[in-house]
Amino acid sequence: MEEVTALLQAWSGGDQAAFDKLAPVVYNELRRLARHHMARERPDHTLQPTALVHEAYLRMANFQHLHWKNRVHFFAISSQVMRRVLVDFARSRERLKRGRTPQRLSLDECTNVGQQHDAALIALDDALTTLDASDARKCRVVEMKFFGGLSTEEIAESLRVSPDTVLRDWKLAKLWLLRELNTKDAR
Amino acid sequence: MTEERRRQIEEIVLSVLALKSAERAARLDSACGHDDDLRREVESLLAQETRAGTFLEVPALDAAARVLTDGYSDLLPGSTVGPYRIDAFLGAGGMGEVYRAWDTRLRRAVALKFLPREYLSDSAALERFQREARAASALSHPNICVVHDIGDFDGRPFIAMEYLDGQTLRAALKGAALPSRQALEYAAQIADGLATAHQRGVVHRDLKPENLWITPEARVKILDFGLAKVAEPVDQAEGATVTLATKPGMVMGTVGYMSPEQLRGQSVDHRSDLFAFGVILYEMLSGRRAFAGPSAADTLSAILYQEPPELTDPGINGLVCRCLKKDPGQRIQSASEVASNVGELLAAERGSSGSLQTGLKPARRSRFRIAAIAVALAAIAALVGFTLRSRLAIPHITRLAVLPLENISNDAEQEIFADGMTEVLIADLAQIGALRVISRTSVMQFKGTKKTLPEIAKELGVDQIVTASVMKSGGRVRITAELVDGATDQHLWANAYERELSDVLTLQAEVARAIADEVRARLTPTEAGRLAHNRKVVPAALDAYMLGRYYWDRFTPESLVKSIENYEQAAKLDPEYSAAYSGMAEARGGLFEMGASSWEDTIPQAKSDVTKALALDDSSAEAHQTLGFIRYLGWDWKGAEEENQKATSLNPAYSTVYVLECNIQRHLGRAEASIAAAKRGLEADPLAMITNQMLGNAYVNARRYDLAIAQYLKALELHPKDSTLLHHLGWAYVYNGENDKGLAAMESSSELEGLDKRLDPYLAYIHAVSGEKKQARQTLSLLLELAAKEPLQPGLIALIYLGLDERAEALAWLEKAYQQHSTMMIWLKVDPRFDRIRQEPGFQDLMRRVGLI
Repeated sequence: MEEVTALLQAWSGGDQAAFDKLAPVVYNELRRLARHHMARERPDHTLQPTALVHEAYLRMANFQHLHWKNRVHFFAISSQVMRRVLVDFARSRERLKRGRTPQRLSLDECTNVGQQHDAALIALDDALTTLDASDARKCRVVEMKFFGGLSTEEIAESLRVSPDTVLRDWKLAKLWLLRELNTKDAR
Repeated sequence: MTEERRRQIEEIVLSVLALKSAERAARLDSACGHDDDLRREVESLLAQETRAGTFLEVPALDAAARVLTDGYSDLLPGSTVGPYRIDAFLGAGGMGEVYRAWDTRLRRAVALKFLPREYLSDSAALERFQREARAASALSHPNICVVHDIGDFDGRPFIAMEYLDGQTLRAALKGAALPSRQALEYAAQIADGLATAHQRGVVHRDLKPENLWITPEARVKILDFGLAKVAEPVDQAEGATVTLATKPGMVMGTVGYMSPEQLRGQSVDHRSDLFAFGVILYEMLSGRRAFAGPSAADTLSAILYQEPPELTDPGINGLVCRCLKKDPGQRIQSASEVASNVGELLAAERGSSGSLQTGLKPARRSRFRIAAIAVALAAIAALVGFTLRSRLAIPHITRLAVLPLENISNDAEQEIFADGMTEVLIADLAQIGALRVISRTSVMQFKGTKKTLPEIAKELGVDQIVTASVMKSGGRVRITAELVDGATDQHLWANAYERELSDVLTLQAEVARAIADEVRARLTPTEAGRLAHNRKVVPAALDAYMLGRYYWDRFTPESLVKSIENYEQAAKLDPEYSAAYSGMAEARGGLFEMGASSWEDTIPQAKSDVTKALALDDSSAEAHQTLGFIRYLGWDWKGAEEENQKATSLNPAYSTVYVLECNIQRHLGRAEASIAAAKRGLEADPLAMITNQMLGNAYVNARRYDLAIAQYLKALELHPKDSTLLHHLGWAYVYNGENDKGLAAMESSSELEGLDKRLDPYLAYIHAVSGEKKQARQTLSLLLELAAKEPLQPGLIALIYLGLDERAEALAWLEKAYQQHSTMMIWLKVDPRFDRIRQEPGFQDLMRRVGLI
């Protein structure tokens, strides 16, 4: 877990390679926790994703040695991880739809609906990638808000900008993305 | 586009958005001037405004979380389910997923609840669900949530219910007490609803704060009437006896509100609902659960044997006590009686000026707590069985079988790859001490089987089964694995993994770790480390290696040669491929052992191969076992044992280690140890020919011929017409004095192998010892003639001389066998055939030279 702390610090210091190392760790932990909650440990079976991310953080990072900023960075990372999780899932389902569907595939089995949504998610992911190239901060804002469920204040803290800026970015990013998605649609 | 230009566009867009529509045109004109490009950009963004309202506003986080957990299907906003259009996902609970939807026919909002599919595995369950849901839909009462419709979507039954604003009682409580008047008002409504349902013969069975909905108008609606019954196992529900759900999590979730008779599995009627009502009333008034403990066992114990601390208001406390009587016969008898009681309390409450004190009296600890826990534990064990073991932290070893990975590509050539992957996965899992994994040879028999998983689980004696499929394409490999409970066929977990082909070992380790996690096998740090460090492989080398394994399995002189060629190819492509080196060493040893090649042609090279394998990977069980095997062939008993033990600790599921262990022990004359090793081998690999044969061999060397015969016959049931087994059975009969049966078995073995009976030294030996010396001598002279022309195992000729009791000749031929490093030397100490010569000084000397004395 010490390693996570170090990686978080490296990543918040601008080291992109640290993210690649962190992502699978975070993913595994989120996944483990989510399964843990959904499966049988909790009496009430309700899963609150935000709580999940917070809990993942608490478990992974040595809380005493991290301050608020690290926590925000962690949430930012989970947002990116969540984006990957959802999009990878959607892509794999799309692939399955095209190829010969193996009989015993769990993904296919447990989700035989919502394929339209997969296409939308993949399109959104593509649009975000384009946005990332021209305006990375807006892309981060969307990731944190939509995929990570973070509050405006948390996003502001993570990006070191004012909450107002986050709100402006959010508004503009949504318009930009919608336009991108619609023109894609028309093509 | 420049940064500056973008800013300009954004500023204009934001400023226009802030204006009312009437003022926008003017603002656009003034901001853009004659810059048409600018205006187009701004307008194209502004055009999205109408759609932007809800776009991305609901975080995808919870969808992502559900993806993370698999198994939870997602109906996404906009999709349609019959006449219903899904608007939003509301939540998932033990009784399924709930969505807000729009009924397009009747134009009203509804809540759609899909039951978890595991509850509805068969048509009987489906029927039961529909029956119960209909009974519930017939209930019309302001305090019971209306069921509009029962439907089926893609095989998943759902109910369409009245859509309600508000929250559950659980959420309303927030872990604290409600004002007593409010609590009583809610209680009155609950009792009213229950009274109506009970009059119609509908029992809720799972009443709890999660199932009580509070609307913004403070109306209580009881949810999920009758659905708890659907979750019961068929036989129990039909007999209306036990009310425990099949899903362990659910049992635990609702256990705090279950009546004692429910927990005991006795028959349940409306009075169980009254007990639950009492628990809920208590909680509303005190903010605490009437029965709760740090663990499920404590909670159960409290329900069965304890009284909750009294509430301070005597009237309310009296009602609660009557609801919470352990014996339903002594409990308050009807919901209408409860309702009128609550009504009186409420009237008193409304009449009194101040608020009632409803706090708790000082807690009273039960003296019987410890004893009660023990009884409760027994009750739990009987009720929910295996699932509790892990919860109560009782160390548990899971027995697991990995069925052959299914090749789901259309490419038949990938079959060998799939088999190889099966082996890797088994080996990875076997490294985890808390698992007992069935070896490869036993599971391979189920390739393409039509047997059901429970049948297979029973045959192999395992708790759980891993089934998986593998597909290799375009430099990537994808594995989909599922974990299934052996007894119930219940699907426990599934996941798909994909990686570059060169990372296939890492991928397998991932699968293994996930499975270990799933069966709650705790990994030691060493085990985790071993799984974490997987080298990259060269895909073509992997293919060659898999082919090597494939030929090794066939175990004929020709196939072993091919096996070595493929391993050599693998090592050439990837010079750091440890397993390829130990594979070739093992195959060379096999060639020598079966007498197909000489010592000189095989063992020195095998030694150097295996040394190389170990230098590359000292943690390989196969490499250590192979080194042990080669030392065993070279009569280095101690060294063989040491290496084999290392291999055993590295991979306890690798049944070959027990075969070698058994061989070492039985030839050294340690009967008990050899039988124990053989039994461990059978446990790891219950269906393989070799493990079944070894137990017979161990019995023979222990001189328990009756047991040996029984074991060989049992093995022959699994492997009919196996020539090796028939051969060994023959010897067991002979040693047991049943020469006729022995000859018959041995002759059918020779026939199966296509051997010329006249040249069979074993038959000759038996003829010799049963007095038919003439026949024995015929074979002997033929063999001697042959031996003059081509290499022949001298030990076999020694054997016939032994049968003829010509000891000097026998010893001379044994000496030749010794010179050739013959494996027959290994038999000297214990084999019954040498009994008559064993005390001869020359023989003793031989035994000394091979380290047996």
